[in-house]
Amino acid sequence: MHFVCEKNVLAAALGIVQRAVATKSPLPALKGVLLETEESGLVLSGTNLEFGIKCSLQAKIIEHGAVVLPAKLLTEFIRKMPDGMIDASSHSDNPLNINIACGNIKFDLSGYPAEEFPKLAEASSDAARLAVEEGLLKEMFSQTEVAIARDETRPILTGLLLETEANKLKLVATDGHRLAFRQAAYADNTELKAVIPGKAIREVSKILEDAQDKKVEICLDDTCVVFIMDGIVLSSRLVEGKYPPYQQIIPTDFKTSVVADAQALQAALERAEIIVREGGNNLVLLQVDQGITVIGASQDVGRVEDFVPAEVQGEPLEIRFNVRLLLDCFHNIKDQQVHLDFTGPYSPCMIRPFENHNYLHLVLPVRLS
Amino acid sequence: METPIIHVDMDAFFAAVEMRDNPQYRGKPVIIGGDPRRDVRAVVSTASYEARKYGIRSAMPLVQAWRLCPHGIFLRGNMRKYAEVSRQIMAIFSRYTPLVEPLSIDEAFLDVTGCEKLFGPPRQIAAAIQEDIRRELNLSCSVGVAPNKFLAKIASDLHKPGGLTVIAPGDIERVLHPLPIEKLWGVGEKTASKLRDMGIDTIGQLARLPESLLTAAFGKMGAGLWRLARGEDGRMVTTSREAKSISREVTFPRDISDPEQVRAVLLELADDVALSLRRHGYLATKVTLKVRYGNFDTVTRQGTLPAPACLTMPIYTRVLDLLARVDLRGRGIRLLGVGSGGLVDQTGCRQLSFFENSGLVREEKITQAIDKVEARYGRGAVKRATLLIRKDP
Repeated sequence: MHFVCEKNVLAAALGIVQRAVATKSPLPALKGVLLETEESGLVLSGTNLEFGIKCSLQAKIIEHGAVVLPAKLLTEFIRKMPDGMIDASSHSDNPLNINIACGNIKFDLSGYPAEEFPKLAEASSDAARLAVEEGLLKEMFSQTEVAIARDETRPILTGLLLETEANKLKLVATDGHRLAFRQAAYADNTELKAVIPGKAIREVSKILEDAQDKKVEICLDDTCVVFIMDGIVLSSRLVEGKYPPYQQIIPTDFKTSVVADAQALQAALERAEIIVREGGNNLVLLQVDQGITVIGASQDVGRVEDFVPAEVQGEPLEIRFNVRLLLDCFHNIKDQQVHLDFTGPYSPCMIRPFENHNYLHLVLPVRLS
Repeated sequence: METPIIHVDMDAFFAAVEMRDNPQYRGKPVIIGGDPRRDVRAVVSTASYEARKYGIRSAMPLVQAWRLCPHGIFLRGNMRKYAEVSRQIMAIFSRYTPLVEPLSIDEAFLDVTGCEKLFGPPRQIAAAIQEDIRRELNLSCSVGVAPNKFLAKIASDLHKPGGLTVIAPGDIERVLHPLPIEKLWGVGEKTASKLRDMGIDTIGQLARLPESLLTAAFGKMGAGLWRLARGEDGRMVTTSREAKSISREVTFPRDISDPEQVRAVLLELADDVALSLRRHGYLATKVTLKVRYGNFDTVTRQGTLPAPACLTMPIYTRVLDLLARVDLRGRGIRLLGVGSGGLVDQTGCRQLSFFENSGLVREEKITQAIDKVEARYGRGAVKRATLLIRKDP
């Protein structure tokens, strides 16, 4: 194997692929990056068996070949090289020994045979395919990702539900305490349903760009999902099991409806958070009457009371929340005004941007016994 | 003297209480810990000074103590009584200062800053406390007076029993430096042998080393040791201590290996831990399982709870998960322990969930009912059927 490529391009590609590389594994090849040559350039792959990332980059191929190199060492070393062209070639007597040169720097790295590298999950030929604008997908992921469960008690909730129906693409995440829902118009009306692991979603989000002119292709079959982006392919197993019927959770009748300035309310919650996180319980009280009064208090620390003007319709209400859950939602609202709808102190609060009815967040309150 | 700290340590506390209440034991070797003929696995909890002459020490297996002193008076002890006496002692301390930090049932730190005008200099306060305890409770204690907690504890230990030792700022080197390194807080067997390998036997030798050398060898703890060796200890006397963990363990008279029995014991321990959490108003976020095999090999496994809990079942279920990661095949178990950590205040509030675990809600109600019954009729008034039919180990 022998190729020449630009250092910055290689470093960037390694940075992306490395996210999928297993940090702990009894198989040394799993802690490595697979380098393969193609006609057009070089392909890097990394996997932890749960998901994998494949990244193609431009390189001049002098001699074809494939090898697995230790990911951490390689990434770190390439990053520390001076800018310029990198020339990598395998030793003539030992093809697993790779000599990497850049200017006056030469270093040898011994690798593993490419055959020891596991095959990345691939969508079958009859897999369903969706094409979504990259910037839109990035926004949709960031709005729902926060609600994906982190603990493994209910494995199905550690994934993001992706479904298409009636010309809509819908994403749903819930950890039991809150639920995020985001939908977008989608031309096709094939019906799909898949639960994608939160880890894969978080990695894809990091790779996605705010581009409006590019599309991401999502391939889905019964067991895996593949995201095909510009030069980067991320594939992951799906979460097995049935997603809970989330539609039943979303309330439709409300007793109290509020419209408030999103930034003002967010700022008030952030101020309250400073006090309540010191006390360790993250608890805020919202008094909804002529407006919203945000009250945060912790013993031995202090108390904050903050009045946010708002348009309130219906019954006045007092309700307590974990302020973190509210803020996670507000961080994703770009609109000037926000809708808050309540049915009672022990029922979920529905938060929606005023203009955009494609996004909603449900947050369950805290009950004082 | 900067902050005058007094450390009071009762002399052979449990044994002394027994000897006070049973005149026939006085002047005899009294060993608290159990009956060496029955409690084969028990250890010495306290030995009277008469018993210490035979080489009997705390934490020594009771059987060994019996061999050293077959005619000794071996008693199981009465924790309820000792706790009551402890309360009386703490009450005496609080006459002199509100800043009392109980360290265990029989020792405490007192910060007597600002008490001079009322009760005289720290030395005089220490003497008065010692006298009150002797006159009112007929018990002896050793007292140390020093500028900080570490030195006060060192001081009380210097002239036991019945001593009153003051370490003034000018005496620190003279008193502290000749002591063996084990006297430093945080130096256990392992650290001590590591230090000995470095040629360090006394606190003075350690104090003379450059701090950087200790940090290199022991990390953050090294810097702490170095400061202690120089007689520096910035910790305050704190009156209430936040619990960091609540755990329960049991040592079996004979090793057990029956998986069913192991589970039954763990259930009982989880029950105890959960009860203790509720009594203290905590929720646990982590649980630990401790298994000690017959050969004293000990393994611990820790796991996080899906939600903070103070009920038996969530804790027990997690403990069983952890048990699955421990190799039990064919190995006798000497001790089992269940612990809870990452404690958070149970402020009486609960984050609601879309998927209420109906089993958990039911358990909460049952537990509340049982707690009420037990508050009235005593612990054990209601028992799990699993634990009733269990054969005793």
